[in-house]
Amino acid sequence: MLALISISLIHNQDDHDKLTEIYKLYSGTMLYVAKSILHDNHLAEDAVSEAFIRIIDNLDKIEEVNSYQTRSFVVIIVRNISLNILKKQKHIELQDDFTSYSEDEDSFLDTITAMELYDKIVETISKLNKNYSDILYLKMQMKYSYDDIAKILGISKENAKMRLSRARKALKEQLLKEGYYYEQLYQK
Amino acid sequence: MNNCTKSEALFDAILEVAVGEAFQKEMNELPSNEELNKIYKPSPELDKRIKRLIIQRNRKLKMKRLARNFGKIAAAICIMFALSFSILLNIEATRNLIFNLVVEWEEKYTELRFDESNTYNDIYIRPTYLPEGFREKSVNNTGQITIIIYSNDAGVEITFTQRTTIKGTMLVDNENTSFTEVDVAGNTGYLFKAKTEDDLNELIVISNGILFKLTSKIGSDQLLLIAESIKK
Repeated sequence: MLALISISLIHNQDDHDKLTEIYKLYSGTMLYVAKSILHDNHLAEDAVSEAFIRIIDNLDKIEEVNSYQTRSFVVIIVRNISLNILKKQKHIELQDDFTSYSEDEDSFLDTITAMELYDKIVETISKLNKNYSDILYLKMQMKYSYDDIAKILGISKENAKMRLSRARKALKEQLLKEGYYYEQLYQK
Repeated sequence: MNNCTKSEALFDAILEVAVGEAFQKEMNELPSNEELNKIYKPSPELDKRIKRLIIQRNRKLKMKRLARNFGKIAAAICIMFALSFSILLNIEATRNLIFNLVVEWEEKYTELRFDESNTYNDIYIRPTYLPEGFREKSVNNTGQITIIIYSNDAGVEITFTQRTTIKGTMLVDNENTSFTEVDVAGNTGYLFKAKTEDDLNELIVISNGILFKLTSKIGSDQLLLIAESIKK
């Protein structure tokens, strides 16, 4: 019995240490990201505090505190929360890059290689609405399930699916606008 | 697999790698953690909030694990009971050990339970009474939460938080405070009196579905007067 209690306390101590370490290491980064969106110290601290609650809820997804993955994870969470606060503050709808993209739309019959397309996609992603680029990263790179993404971003599973679909469409539409049409890849 | 499906698969494969590179580029453009930590320092209030969050999380986890392990612990107690005649640790000692642990955890926080949720947007309520010398320093509204900070010339602050109640429980850290229930204009108030000068007094009142929280180093009698002057 004493062993059970001891194990429980050790687990708690591990989590406690991990959370403290995350805060010590990333508090500056979190404040920087939040402040660059909200331009207000108090709101930025509110965003960081809210982000920390979400990090706590998703602590099981963090393995190594001082890593590129964890920093990305923290940035995505604090950015998402800051954008939501901004939306509430300004009563504005954040720009939705998605308009009307049709799968049957005529393409620019440009000759492109996979490498050209790759470079173009990297460039286009960096210009996308952050809500879109973040969800692409969580799904396609981190391989999180829709349930996990919903929990990380504080949205419903359906919204997560919808946002990913819109992100892909926004990306494809932008590529089309610039004369890149991925369906040509295989026809060549 | 037709051409369209093949293209889609290839596009996904390229996208997967491209997303990683795009994100890595963005992250690489960020200054390092060390640089940002030097420039962006959290306020003492934020430090306290985060510390409190960590403590609350640990307590919740402890309670969950205790509940999960309860069956195992109960079984262990039975075994110990049976063995108690032949080992030094007797039942009384075992019972005291478990009892003390639970009491200790409970003594460190007070749980407030809300039975209903309310939704009000843009709550802006101000007290009609403030201790002498205090004036409004800042107001922050984030939808369903409004935080007003009052301060005096000596830099003493009173934080007035107002938020809608959400069904569930709220854990209040009372490790360095003594907890009492008080009457605030006909409503029950939850007063957490600081035990030392370094700790903050906290008064929580729920009225008409709105939670009001006053936190400050000023005396609890003053917090009560402020709370009584709040009118929804």
